[in-house]
Amino acid sequence: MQLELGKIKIEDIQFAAETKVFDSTLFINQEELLEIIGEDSRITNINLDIVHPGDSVRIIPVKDVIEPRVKVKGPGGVFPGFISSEEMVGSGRTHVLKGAAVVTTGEIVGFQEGIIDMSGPGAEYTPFSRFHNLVVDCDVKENIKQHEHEEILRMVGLKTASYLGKAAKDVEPDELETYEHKPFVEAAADYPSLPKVGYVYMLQSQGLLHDTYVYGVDAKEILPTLMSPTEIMDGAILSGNCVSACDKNATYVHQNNPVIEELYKYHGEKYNFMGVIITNENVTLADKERSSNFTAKLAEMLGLDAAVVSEEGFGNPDADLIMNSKKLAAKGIKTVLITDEYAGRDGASQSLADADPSADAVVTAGNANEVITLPPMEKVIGHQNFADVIAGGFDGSLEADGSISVEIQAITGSTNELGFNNLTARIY
Amino acid sequence: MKDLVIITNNPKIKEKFEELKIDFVDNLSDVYSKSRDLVHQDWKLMSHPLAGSVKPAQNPYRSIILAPTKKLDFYSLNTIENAIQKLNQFKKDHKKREYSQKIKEDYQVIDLTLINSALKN
Repeated sequence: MQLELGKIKIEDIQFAAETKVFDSTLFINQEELLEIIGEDSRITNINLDIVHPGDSVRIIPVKDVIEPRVKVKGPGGVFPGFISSEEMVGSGRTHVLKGAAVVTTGEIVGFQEGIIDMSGPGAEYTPFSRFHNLVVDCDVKENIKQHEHEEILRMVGLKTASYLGKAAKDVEPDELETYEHKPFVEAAADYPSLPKVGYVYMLQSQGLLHDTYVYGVDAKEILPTLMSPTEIMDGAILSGNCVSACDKNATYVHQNNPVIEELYKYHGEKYNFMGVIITNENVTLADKERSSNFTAKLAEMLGLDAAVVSEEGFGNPDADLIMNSKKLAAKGIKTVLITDEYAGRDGASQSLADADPSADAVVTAGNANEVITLPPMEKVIGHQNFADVIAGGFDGSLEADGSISVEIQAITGSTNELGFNNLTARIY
Repeated sequence: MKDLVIITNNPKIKEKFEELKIDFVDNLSDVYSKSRDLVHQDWKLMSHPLAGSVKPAQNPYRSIILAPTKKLDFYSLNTIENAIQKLNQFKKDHKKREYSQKIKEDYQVIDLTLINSALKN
């Protein structure tokens, strides 16, 4: 399987009479877009806003962030199982509007979190403040239930990204990257002297606002399975997942998984990157046992020497993470775990809700309980009242001047466990 | 299925699962302590006590499914004790506040979907 990603640099977004890409600017015909994404009769109103890095803008509550793309060659299309058919993706050529993103916001439940500040200290905590974002704020009819509302908003986001992506179809990319994934037997034979490394990709899968989709299938219904990394890079995995905002993988993050990119970087040099095992994080302990058993079994069948395991979320997924760690270690497969921490505001509490001696190589994406004060912004898109202690369960406080004191767990992507975040530790 | 018990303080669970054994308690802390007590009486956890990602203490509603077993299940004991520790940690920084009815119901729905997905599988 060979995938070419043609990256088209976007340095500005503007509303215009015609949707097109010209001179690194994405022009959007607002009326045409609204007609396409507003076709669902359950939608009452959609507002579109363009925001740029450095703008005095706060977006809250963010539901998803999506990168606009289009398939230009080869089988399948964007967002398989939702926008395109169930055809396999991960080969051919896909064009990407690099630097642009679709951000969805809306009132699904009365307590909300998920902040993107486009400037100020908050902007440094979210990876999404550096993009030119088209923000889609969508209201639905009053009688729509929470599940349906989430689905409407998810589809509006995907339709918007798909519409914008089409503008990239005939544009010559600024950069062309090629990724290949060979059948396992061939891949193993390619670098016999290098350790065989796999990636265990844990997907949050528990219910409303906690779901992930693989080719349109709810991940809680899957058994762990093998995937080509190029399928994931080509949008096979989508997010329906936004609480807590700090450590949930937005669709953008699945499309641009840094663990996969990094594993490709030294493939054939330091190790042999064999492929990806996706697994879920379900509610019951029996499911957790079954999925971790399958994960370890697949890793053994692939003949892995080592595996990188990334978690999504906190709390009960710590149990999945530790089960994966223990069971891989029991088969003689070394692990590196990637997680984040809820170590209390002073950082003194136990970081995870589970632990085991096999977890002896762990990367942290940061402590989500750290507190930050976000200054007021000139413009708020969405529903800032959700940050108010009186209106919601949000663990922070909204001051009269519009500033918010809050744990960084409320900031979208701040402690992302794939490393798609800005926090780092440095020794001077 | 008939042996299961759901320890809950979520009224929506009581409404929805009339056919199951429900032990309805007053508050969040009681859900955890009652579950821990049952683990000591040879019940094991079927659902994870920290299911979902709304932070412990932030969501005032919680339901935990248990089933009878033949001897003390140490994994369940460890898991419920770790969960109680996390709950207490989050409670420390959590400002107690009265939620509106709508927000209460949203939190109940979140808890209900977690239990729904557990019982479905």
